Amino acid sequence: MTNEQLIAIIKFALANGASLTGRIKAFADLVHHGHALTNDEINALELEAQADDDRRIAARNTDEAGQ
Amino acid sequence: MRRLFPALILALTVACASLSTKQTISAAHLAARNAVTILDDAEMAACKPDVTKKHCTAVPVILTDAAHANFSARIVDFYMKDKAISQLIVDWTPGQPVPVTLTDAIAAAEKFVTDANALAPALTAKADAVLKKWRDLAQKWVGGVK
Repeated sequence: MTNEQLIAIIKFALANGASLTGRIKAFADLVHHGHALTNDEINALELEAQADDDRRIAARNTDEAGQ
Repeated sequence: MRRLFPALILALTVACASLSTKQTISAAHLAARNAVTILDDAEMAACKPDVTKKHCTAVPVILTDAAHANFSARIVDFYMKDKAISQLIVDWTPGQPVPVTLTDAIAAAEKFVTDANALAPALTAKADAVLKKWRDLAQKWVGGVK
């Protein structure tokens, strides 16, 4: 498999990966292989992580949490 | 785990302001965040909280209710800080200097990582094994910053 083919597969995973963890792993792999993402692609993943932060905060939303 | 955030701060220290730098820092940030979510999920599995989210139901008992409450309070604080870090990265336009507040925000989030072992000692060994992979990856990324 060529580096270009590998990057194509990773980019597919980044675009279509079911889980945020898998998408972040695909992002890491792209960076590792020296492939550049656009600013919008980076920001989209960060915003998705923020949404996941909100879900995880809600899952632990007790009287004690967040004080 | 403890070395992940310092590695990110090192990346910021040596960073120029290109898109590739933003990409490297974002990747390291998301990897560090992923490591915490793994610990988060492990703690939830070890507790199996009931509908009140306050009482652990896991058998055998691994975590006390008090330990779970303490962990929850701290990890919620981490996620609040993580959102601030993420927004700083989003707002950072490539070509502009690295936001000074980004380093401060990461240092604040690092406190959670430093305290993680004390929060849930029963999970530490398992979490460390998973997190070692992320540490190694993060160090490779930091080494790639020029």
